[in-house]
Amino acid sequence: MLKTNACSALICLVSSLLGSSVLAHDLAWQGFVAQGLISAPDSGFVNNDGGLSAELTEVGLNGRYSLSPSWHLAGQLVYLNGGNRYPTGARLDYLFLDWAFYNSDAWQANLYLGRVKNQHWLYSSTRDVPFTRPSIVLPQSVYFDGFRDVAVGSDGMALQLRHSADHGDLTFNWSLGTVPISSRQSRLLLGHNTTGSTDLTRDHKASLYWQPQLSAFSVGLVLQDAAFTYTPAATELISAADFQVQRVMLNMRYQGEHWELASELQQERLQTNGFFSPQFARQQLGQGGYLLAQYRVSPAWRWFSWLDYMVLEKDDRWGRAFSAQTGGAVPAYFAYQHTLASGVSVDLTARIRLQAEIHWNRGTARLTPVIQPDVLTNRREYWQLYAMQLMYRF
Amino acid sequence: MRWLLLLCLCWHLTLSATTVLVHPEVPLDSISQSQLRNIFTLRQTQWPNGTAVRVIVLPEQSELHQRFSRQRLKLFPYQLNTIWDKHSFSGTGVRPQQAESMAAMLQLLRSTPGAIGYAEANLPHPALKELRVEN
Repeated sequence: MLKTNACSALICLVSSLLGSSVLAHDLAWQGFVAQGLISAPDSGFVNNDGGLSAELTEVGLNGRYSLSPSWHLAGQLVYLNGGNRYPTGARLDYLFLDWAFYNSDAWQANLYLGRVKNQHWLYSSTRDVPFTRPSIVLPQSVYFDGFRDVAVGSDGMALQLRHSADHGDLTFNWSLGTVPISSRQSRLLLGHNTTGSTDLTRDHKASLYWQPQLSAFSVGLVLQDAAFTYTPAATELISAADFQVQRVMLNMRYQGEHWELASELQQERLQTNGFFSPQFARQQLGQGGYLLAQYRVSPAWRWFSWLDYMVLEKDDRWGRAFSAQTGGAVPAYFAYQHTLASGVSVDLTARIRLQAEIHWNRGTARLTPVIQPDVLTNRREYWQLYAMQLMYRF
Repeated sequence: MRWLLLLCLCWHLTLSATTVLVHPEVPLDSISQSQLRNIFTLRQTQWPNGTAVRVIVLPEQSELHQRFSRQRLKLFPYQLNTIWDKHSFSGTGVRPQQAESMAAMLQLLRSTPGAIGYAEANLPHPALKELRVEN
């Protein structure tokens, strides 16, 4: 309902604005094409046979149309193929009306209506744009690919307030909306054999960032509250379910001339009611985070490395209780995932970049599906990932 | 000898300094460093009279762009690029227009209402307004 209302309101507003003769017109557009090779032997991260794959395609085209200095319409179409990481295909990444309802030297305020991007995490708003992210595959503790379509944005509204003063720059983001979840996405999250439908009924986020004046440091706090429902198909033995996810995240960034450091630490409460049986109830308090270091060797060459850590339950960090609950059917290493990644990128021209990286992983908690883990494909606690990608922007 | 050194230093500073130039109709004579940074990082997108700000820059590898970024904005060029990418690929802004040369920069500043850019401090800039930057 919220989605329908938001889209109707957006269409009405755009129609009325386009009809106005006092508005200046200005269209800017750009895009990117990226193709890579990726391999994650001994895991189902990319594909079920773990072989070398070309399922690392990202194509995007976006535009921003200025209706007036205060009103803008922005949209992006993307085509993604990441194998098992997220559903393959084209999607409308964002399409929103941007109203800059206050804009001065000290204060700026924007309201966004439509399909808006997640502006709350350090790399969330451009996680599909290869040139803008530090690694081809982002730290999965925060940027879990199986959750990509749900976390990348929402249909609804968002607000951004910015203030500059002697104490520095403050940015407040708030968003409320919902996300359509495809059957493929639902199976990725819940289990290969599920045939029911998953709905995200609420996605509510807020974040506050502070950068002291002219400082190389910035810090942020992010809060998220999301609720899902699962409605089983008539033929399924699975019960109807409600899931609630609440996340608190702290992040920080340092940007020096050569060194750039970034970290996002999060704690996430996942409440599950139903699914395995009508009476089933479970609460997990997961923790995770990463520390990323980048070194710009020259304007063209960059090296990076990050350390990523996550556990599904902070009181069961090695998954012993988790595995015991399944009678040992699900190995303990499905309750955690720790990764060390390292790689390099080189700008061959102003428009072309080549990037390569290796990830050493222990644990499989961020391999899809999550609720009913694939224990047949993901048979190794230790596994590696190799990726190389060529990117072009225009 | 001391005077000569001082003279050389002043000459060097004059040569290496950058100045902020705007379209003659921009309704400002001076600008704070914080405001300048807000404009080049796409936070402030309108002038006080409500007209749109149009940022013009030289290519990232340009020595003048790098000097302007470091001296005036206190940002490394890669930080500016990161900010512009984040805005332009998430729909909340548009990358500044790029002028391929200083002559093209001056031409764009003259022909684009609301435009703001930069130049060497000693470069003649007829038909353009120079903004005083206050700390």
